[in-house]
Amino acid sequence: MRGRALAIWSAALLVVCLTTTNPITRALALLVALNGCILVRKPEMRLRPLLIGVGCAVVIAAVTTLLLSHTGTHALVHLPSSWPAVGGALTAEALSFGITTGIGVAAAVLAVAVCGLGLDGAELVDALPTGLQRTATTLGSALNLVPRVARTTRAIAEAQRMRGWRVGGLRSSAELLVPVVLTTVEDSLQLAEAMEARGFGTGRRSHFVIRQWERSDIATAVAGAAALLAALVAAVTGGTHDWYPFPNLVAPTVGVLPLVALVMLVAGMVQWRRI
Amino acid sequence: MRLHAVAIAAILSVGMAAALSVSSPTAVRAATCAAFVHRAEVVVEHDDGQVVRACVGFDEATISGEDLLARSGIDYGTVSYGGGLGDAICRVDGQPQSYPPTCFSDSSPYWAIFVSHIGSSWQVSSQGASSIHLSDGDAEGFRYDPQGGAPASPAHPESPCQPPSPTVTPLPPAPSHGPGSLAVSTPSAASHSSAAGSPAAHVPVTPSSPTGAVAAVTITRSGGTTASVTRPGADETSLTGWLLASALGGGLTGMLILQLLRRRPGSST
Repeated sequence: MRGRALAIWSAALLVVCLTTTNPITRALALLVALNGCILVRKPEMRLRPLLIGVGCAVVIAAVTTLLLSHTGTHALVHLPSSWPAVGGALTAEALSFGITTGIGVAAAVLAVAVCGLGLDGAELVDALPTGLQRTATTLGSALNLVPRVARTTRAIAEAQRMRGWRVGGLRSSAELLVPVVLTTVEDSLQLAEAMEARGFGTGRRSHFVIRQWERSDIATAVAGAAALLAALVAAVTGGTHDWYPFPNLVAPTVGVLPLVALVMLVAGMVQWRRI
Repeated sequence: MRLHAVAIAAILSVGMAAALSVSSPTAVRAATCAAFVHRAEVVVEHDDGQVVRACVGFDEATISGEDLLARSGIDYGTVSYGGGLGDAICRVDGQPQSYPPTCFSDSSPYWAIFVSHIGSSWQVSSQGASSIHLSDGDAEGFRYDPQGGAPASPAHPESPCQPPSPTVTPLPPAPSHGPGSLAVSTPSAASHSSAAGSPAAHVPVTPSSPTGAVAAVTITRSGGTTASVTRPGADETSLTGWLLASALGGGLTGMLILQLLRRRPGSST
């Protein structure tokens, strides 16, 4: 799969998720994203941690909104008003709005995760516009530093413990922090030198293998572009049928245009692998 | 295995489609007549140009804009602006069907409030409905306006507004603005629900006592006590959307189950 084709598809799905508050559209977008993640993911990529994280996000959004928003007419439970922030009526409207928000967040995260699960680092950088590729490489390297610092910290802490070091106050933490900082700086310098030695920043990005656009790539890109257009038209013309449960919980109406966008995305997705 | 998955997808599609229940939007159009000392008019103009008028009678010297709207029997929703500005009008006559806790967003249409004093032209109100004071012959206007630029004025008020004729007159059904548009619950209206059997009729209601606590209300109903009048084509679009959504949802769920079954260790397919 060409990175850019998948990026267009992913961007279209993200736009569908973010341009509406309609729970039906969001739930369907979540289903499309879930299917996309499973279809496109490489065997070595694990999906379970991502799904657990996304599930937690949905639960947190629902519970937070339920506890903090006391708007709505259908009270489920009344908490004592003396309780700060959470005191008052917990309403069905707030709960439904929280769940819808959580579904939207989950759908948006999974829409982007499709790229992360299906592409390796080089393909991800290729998926970006040419002008952003250098920035993306730098940013990616910087983000990659975070897990590396964690690994370094664990290794140094273990080595220091072997020397009799114990976790204590501020002074004892300096014995851990100083070598961690020095090692991180050293690693960063090595990475910068390696990138420079490979000609980073001197010209166009080079590739070991240049993949040609295949039929499935073109189909994915065209479907993504068409879906993006449909989603934007729906957003501009009010065809997204936004939904708010306040003050009374009412059934949402379903806009056809966002659904057409999702159908297009599904049509692009089924090319990825035989089901 | 594949047959099972396809069967599951089909059952889900059919089940979701069967579970659909498109609620019929209801609408009640209210106008008020006057057996009171004073009268003021409420003019509501929707974004599709539909105008709803209500002539409200009251005995007090002045009445707040929100009280006038409440006594007109027209469904409405408010959120307080805070700081003495009064209440923002978030929904009138079922439009919009729902709204965010902030009443309206940065880009959504909103209800612009206008005031006309004794036959003068409309003036945009700089305060919320609860902070507006109206007296005999005044009018309060609401227009659902897109944000951007000064809001256009609603339809001209009648000054002084005239109560409708106390005869039962069939009317063409008015377009609905969603299920939320039925919220007339004044006692006088409820007491005359038996007259609502005709397809569409003005039902003048005489106040039980001219205290001014509840205005005399003339209600136009269509169908039954909870009339069902829809915007042309709205139901068809909604139904298409729901059918498409249920089919898509069933298909996607089936596809998901199929993929999970295929990836399960020991699966033969």
